[in-house]
Amino acid sequence: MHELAITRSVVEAVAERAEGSRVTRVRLQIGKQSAVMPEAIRFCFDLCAEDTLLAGARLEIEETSGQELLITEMEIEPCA
Amino acid sequence: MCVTCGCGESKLAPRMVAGRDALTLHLEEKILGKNDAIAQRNRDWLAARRSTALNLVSAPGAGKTTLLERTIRDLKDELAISVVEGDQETENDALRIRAAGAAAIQINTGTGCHLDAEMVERALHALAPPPRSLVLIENVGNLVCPALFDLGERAKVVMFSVTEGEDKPLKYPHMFSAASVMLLTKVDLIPHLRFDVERAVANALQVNPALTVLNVSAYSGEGMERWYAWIRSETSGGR
Repeated sequence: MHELAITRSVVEAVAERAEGSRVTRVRLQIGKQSAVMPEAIRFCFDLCAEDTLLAGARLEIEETSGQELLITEMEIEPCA
Repeated sequence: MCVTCGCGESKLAPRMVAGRDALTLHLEEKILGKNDAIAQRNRDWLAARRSTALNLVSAPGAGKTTLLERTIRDLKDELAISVVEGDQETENDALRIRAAGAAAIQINTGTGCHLDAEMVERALHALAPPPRSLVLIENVGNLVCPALFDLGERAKVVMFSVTEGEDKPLKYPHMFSAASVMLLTKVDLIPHLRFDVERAVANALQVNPALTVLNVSAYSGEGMERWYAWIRSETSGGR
């Protein structure tokens, strides 16, 4: 199941971009031709996010028709 | 500016939208961007050594290791061949490859169902193939996941044996689309089977019209010269 590796890549890329801030929402674009199952990504996400800046973040997946496999949005908490 | 509150320099400042209590970053980042970057590093590393890698993919049991053994025996006098072996468990395949006369490194992916660029990077550095090498990467037997992960290879070679169903390319179109060459393997068995070669090839070409199709048998040797000719054409281009 490559979705686990894909989800790990998402968490890694988003955490790097967050530069230490807590991430509250992540939005992905997953194409129907991408060979990636959104359901499996959802299944893996919470587990992969545990103990990272993405812990507890909401995952949104926009399903598109092509081969897209993108992180399109991330929401982060502002500094206190 | 820091992405959250502008308190410092940020190396990454995509379009920002300030919400009431959170900030949304709009990105267009490839999920597999990191893998792709490492794969490109592998490609550059190989190019600097005038070497070429091929990524061999198939379902388990299509005959990848047997084909490699024969290829190594037949080409070892003209080409330096190294092999990266991917399997979930065991060192069996690397042992077979070494017995055939090539350097081999075994990657065990454990629960993982595919090789990724980082695993191959480590393997390449450990193998340290001599200049002008051909590096054959035998991926984990799986027609789904390996299609997505660029390893830094020049081409993907998909293998499909005549003991499988003719509709395999239709069932696993991603892999057949991603490949440059399809080896129809074990063709020496055709007389014993009810396998429709024409239909199988038509299915593969329906998924990927640009696919080069070669019928081979690593046992009888049938068609192997055409496979070697293809390897020579791929390796000479990069030298």
